[in-house]
Amino acid sequence: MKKNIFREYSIFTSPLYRLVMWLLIPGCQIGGAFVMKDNLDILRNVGLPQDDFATGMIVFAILLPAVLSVFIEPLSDIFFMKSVERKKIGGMVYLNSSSKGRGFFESAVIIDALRKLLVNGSIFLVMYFGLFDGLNLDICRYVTIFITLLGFLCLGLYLSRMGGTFMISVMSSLLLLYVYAGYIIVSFMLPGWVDVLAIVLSCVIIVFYFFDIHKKLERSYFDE
Amino acid sequence: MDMKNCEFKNAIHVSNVVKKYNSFELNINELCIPEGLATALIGENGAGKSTFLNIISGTRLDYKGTVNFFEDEEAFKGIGQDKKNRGNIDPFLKTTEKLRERIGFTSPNDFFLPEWTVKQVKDASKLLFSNFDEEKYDRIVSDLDIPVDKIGKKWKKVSELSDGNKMKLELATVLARDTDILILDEPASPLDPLMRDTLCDMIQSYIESKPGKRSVFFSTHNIADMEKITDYAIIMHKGGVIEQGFTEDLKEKYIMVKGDEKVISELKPLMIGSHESSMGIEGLVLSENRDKCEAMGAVCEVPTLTEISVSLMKQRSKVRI
Amino acid sequence: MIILKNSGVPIYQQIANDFRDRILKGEIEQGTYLPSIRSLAKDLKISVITTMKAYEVLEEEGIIQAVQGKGFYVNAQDAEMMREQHLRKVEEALSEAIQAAKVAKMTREELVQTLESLLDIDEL
Repeated sequence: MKKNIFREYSIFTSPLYRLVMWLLIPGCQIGGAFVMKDNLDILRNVGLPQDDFATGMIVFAILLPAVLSVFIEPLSDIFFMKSVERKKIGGMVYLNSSSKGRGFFESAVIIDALRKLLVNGSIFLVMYFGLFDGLNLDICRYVTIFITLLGFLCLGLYLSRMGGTFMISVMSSLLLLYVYAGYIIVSFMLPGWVDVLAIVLSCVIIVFYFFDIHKKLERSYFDE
Repeated sequence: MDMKNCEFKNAIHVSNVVKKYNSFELNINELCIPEGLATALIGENGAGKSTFLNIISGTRLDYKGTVNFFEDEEAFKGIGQDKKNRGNIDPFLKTTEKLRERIGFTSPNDFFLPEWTVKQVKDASKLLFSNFDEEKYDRIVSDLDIPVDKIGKKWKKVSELSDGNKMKLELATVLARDTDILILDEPASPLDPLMRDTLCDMIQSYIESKPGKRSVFFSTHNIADMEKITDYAIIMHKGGVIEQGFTEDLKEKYIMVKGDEKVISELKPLMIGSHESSMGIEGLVLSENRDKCEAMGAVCEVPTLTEISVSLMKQRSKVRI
Repeated sequence: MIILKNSGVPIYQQIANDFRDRILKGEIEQGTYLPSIRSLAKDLKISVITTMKAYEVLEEEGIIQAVQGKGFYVNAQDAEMMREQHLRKVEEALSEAIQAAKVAKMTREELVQTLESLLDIDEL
């Protein structure tokens, strides 16, 4: 790995973007989760039935701020990076004219993709130790939910990239958010093989996402 | 005087470059751009000028053929348009690193990422090109009066600059580097008349700073503004070169002929892209026909590069009024 | 140097004429170098090729000489050649006067008389 990869990332992204994406949004998500939990404790004490569906609902409600990443990431890409994620992006000519442009772009975008994994992972870790006491939530299920989150996140970015227009990006990420929310709730009632399938699919999507970033600048040298 | 016998080396030597795009085909068998001079690329919209400049600047690789630089010292080779044969382009970028350092390329569209601030442009330039001179860049930016200043705590974004200022910023980034050739795609179009004049000065200073070593190749629709500094002109139509030569030679090859209404029918067959009205006819004629024209009582003038280019384009253009 | 862009006289010709005049008048001394092609082009805001052509005209006339890598220097002008150049100028000017006289319908005698009286004034 190149040694100035972080310098490249810091030049490529604006300080505001880094502040918002590394600190502000994760902070809000964790804070939001704690607020959710406080309110849910009241609900639980009232005496909801302790079945799988109810557990799923409660876990989902606590996770909701973190789950919103599926929606937030494509939007932040549109607002801060003017759709760097998009398949055909304008403004690459200067990068293309240098031999180092491709590596420069790639390291910046890959660091940002790693940030998505890292930040969301940290949020899930903090939440696991702080929020789920007294709930019927085993670690395997929790990890499955996390990995599928990353899968949905990458899929959302990929779809918004294919779409091209702002509205399609918003619609596709909203749709994915609903599907993912549904998956979390239902996952408590489904047989184990569905979880395995979800993990495999998510991993495929994540790998494909990184591979696609790798190919992105290469494409700008061609008519596609 | 025949300028072709002059002792010019080739800055760029294009051979067998072919690129297809839908029904359009760029096809340039052989083309040389002389070293140490300013060469203009002229042509209609859609003639393939930008595609051609992208190819020779190395920002487009899907073509067949070779672009040699500096008397075959360095070269870009097309990867071809077949998606399967493409492979990894990293080795290609690596082997052309030295050449890319020596070329300064600007383009009117999609040059910088729009969300970048002017500060990011500068920081990125330092990483992208080892010969980028930061002080020189700052000096050019202030000389060209580009409004890049920090407003409050916020740097200006590239997307907030006007087209003219964007082009000035592009010029600043390439002029701040120690290059051997500038390839400029439509540098004059977004600029105001004063800045176009300054652009001519900058091109001439660049050429003069290392006599015989530094060349400039630019495309332009503003022929009249750039004519005075143009040494060599290449006129393109539908992906091919239809005329080229030193401007002084072209001005001897052709004459501009004006005749009154009585000789329209006789003059017309001799003319390239003529313009006729009830008052008479005018058009470009090969100099070898000068005697015939004068015998008809027509007046002959030395043409401007604009007149030569427009007439040649008019002859082939599909635009009819 | 003053260059007229729309005078009808080719720019390279104007430059050649200007330098020739100065050299023959002795304003530019023998053995000195003329400005380099590219710096002259830049100063006059004309193309490099035009400047080159001007220098080539002067070189063909034997007034200047090219030195590889150093530019063009003013040739040593021998007396015979200087005189020839000046004679050519006199001829040019007189034929112009004759053309003007024709237009004015002056007689041969009138023209000679005018020349003589001009010579008298000059001698005074």
